[in-house]
Amino acid sequence: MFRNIVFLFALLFTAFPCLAAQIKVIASIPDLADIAREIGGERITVESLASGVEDTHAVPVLPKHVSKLARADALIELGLEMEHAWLPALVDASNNPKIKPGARGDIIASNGFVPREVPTIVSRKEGEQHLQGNPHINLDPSAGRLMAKNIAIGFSEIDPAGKESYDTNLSRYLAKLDAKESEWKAAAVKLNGVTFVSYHPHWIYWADYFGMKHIGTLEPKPGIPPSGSHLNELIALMKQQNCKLVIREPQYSEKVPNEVAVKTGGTVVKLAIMVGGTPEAKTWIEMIDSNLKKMIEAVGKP
Amino acid sequence: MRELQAGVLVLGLAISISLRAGEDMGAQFRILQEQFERLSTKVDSQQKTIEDQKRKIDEQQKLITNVTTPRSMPSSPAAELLRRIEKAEDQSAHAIKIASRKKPNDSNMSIGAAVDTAFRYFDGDRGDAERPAGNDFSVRGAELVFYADVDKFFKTYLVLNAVPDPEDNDEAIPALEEAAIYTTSLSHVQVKGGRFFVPFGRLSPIHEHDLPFVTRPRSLENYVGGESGGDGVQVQALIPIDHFLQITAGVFNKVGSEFPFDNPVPTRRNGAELTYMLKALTSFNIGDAHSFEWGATSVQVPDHLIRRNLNNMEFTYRWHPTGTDLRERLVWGTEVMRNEKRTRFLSNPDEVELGNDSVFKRRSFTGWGGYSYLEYFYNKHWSFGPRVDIFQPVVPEEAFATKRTYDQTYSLFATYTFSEFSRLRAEVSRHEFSNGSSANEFYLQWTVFWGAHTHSFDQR
Repeated sequence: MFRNIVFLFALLFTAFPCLAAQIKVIASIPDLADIAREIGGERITVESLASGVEDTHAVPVLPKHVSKLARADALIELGLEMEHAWLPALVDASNNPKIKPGARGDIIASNGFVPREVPTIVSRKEGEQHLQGNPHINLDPSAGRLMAKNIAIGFSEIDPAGKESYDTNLSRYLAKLDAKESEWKAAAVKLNGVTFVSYHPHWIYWADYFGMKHIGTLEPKPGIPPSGSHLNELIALMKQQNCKLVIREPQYSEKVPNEVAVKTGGTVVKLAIMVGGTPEAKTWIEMIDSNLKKMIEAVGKP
Repeated sequence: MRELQAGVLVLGLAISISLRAGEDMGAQFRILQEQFERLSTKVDSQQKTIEDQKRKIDEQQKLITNVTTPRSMPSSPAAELLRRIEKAEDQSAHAIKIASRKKPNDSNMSIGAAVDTAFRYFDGDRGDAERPAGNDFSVRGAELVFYADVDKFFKTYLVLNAVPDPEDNDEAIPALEEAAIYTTSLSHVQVKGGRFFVPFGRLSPIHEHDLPFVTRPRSLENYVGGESGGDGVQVQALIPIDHFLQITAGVFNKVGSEFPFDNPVPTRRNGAELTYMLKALTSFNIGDAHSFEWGATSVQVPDHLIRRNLNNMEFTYRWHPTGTDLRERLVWGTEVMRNEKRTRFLSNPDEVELGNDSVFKRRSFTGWGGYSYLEYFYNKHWSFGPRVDIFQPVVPEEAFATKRTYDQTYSLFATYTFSEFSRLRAEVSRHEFSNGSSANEFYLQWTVFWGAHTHSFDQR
């Protein structure tokens, strides 16, 4: 009996170092979890707080999130205030100094990104503003590199012994992105100059990347639900610019986008705003792939 | 080249003269002369070719000189573009530095405010309400909130609230509602001290304007004393396991209302007269759409003469549908309480003036109560639901008079949220009091927030 107990303890002690070697990483959104998995490889375990179908600005604040954050060695957030309505309360409740703002384990994936739409008028009457600019850089196909680099830098700071591994994984991932970007650019020739509207200003970086024109949103101001007068103005603008493409993000009702599409003779296309937002968007690269494919198909419709 | 030609001619002439000098060498001389003439022709042809090549080389050199001379073309377009990009990068880096530099005011605290105004119609007696019956407009509260990081180790916040006093012409004097400091650098543990809302149950620690309805359930008003404010210290620990389990323990002068009811400020408070609190909260999920939370809290004043023993069980169910309009959701909140108070009361008020202390008797009063509500969020603007609130009043006089009967309130509430920072709310209630009377109540509440406005995890 005694020998069994000793054996059990020995097993536990030999198993613990293996478990402890892995860095526990929590990502705010699945996009960052996917890229972290590519960079961290076997050295990390990673979970996402959001599942992918939520509004990125309003992920439900649940106790299970607090438990996850309490035991995390690192938290990867997109930053630019994208998670400011829900993540700070969770981090605060987790009582985990490793991931507090400014701590080494608080990795900001958007570091170094120069955002657009930085508000020139700071006022609540302008809707739910992001003072640092439009934060939806996870939908910018060119931002994959920056997010991956920032994550690799963050991992290397937390786990200097793994730097070589993270750098190698980063190089491999960047090469994969290079190949994908060539593919995306080639496939998206049809999108050049195409006008579109969306429910929320998620797609400005996407539009820039593919040479498209994002001419408006169904929301009159960010975070303010569509009003009749605003929709009438938007429909008039769409007709004037021959805009036939309405993007519906998964977290919003299909009713209003459908109405706008009917009145303009356009097409509604449902695109993921995060990994997991649609069944095809299993990884960040696959999300861009599937969104691009759906958009090209929608533009090709008569 | 001309010198060479002349030399060849002189040489040829000399040879011909010498050949003429000998008769036997005449034939050979003619052969040599012919060879010389052919050679001379070749030399002329080569001379011409050389001069042509020389002319062409001169022309090429002129062209090359024209291309590389800076006066005709300053630099290549690529180099100029590179130079401009570098300059733009330098300028933008400098601009970012200027924009992001810290200013002295950046160290100041965040400031937010909330104003809660309401119209109330109440058709019963004034009863236990602080406001008059009939029609009544009031500013229920005007609140200023300040919060900031103290340093690397602590955060702090302060809440000033001005509540009108109907006894003094609705004069609203700001009072310190909360002033607390808490740790940020301890793993899994938070220590908090000062004046703050003690996390007793589910709705007691929530400010009036942040409740899901206009009025706080009367069971909480009666058992806790409204908001669960207390001066003291608490330790909150998040147990480091996969499952969410939060334990909170604290000690306070009091929690909520003054206790005991009629106690004067003690000249010396012993340890048994302090209020002790212990709470456990846990949760589990079924899929991503359903979450359940339940907890239990106990508040104790152990002194044998003025004992307070208030316990609760709380339960919250949240439904967050996925894959559709995620503004749609539902919250079901329930809290059940057992309240036991031992306090002194006047056995015969007529004998007070005699100064006979024996007129004060001590006795325990126990009651059960609680509330349950549903709030359905139809979309980002609209939410509504019902609420039931039942309790046995634990006030000595009423306890004697009613013999464990219940006060009951049935309410319906609806909220229209303009934005995260303003909302309009209506509430209709039917009160059935334990003394047999009843009343109807209607509220229309308008609440606005401005400045910094955050919600903690406890206020979710």
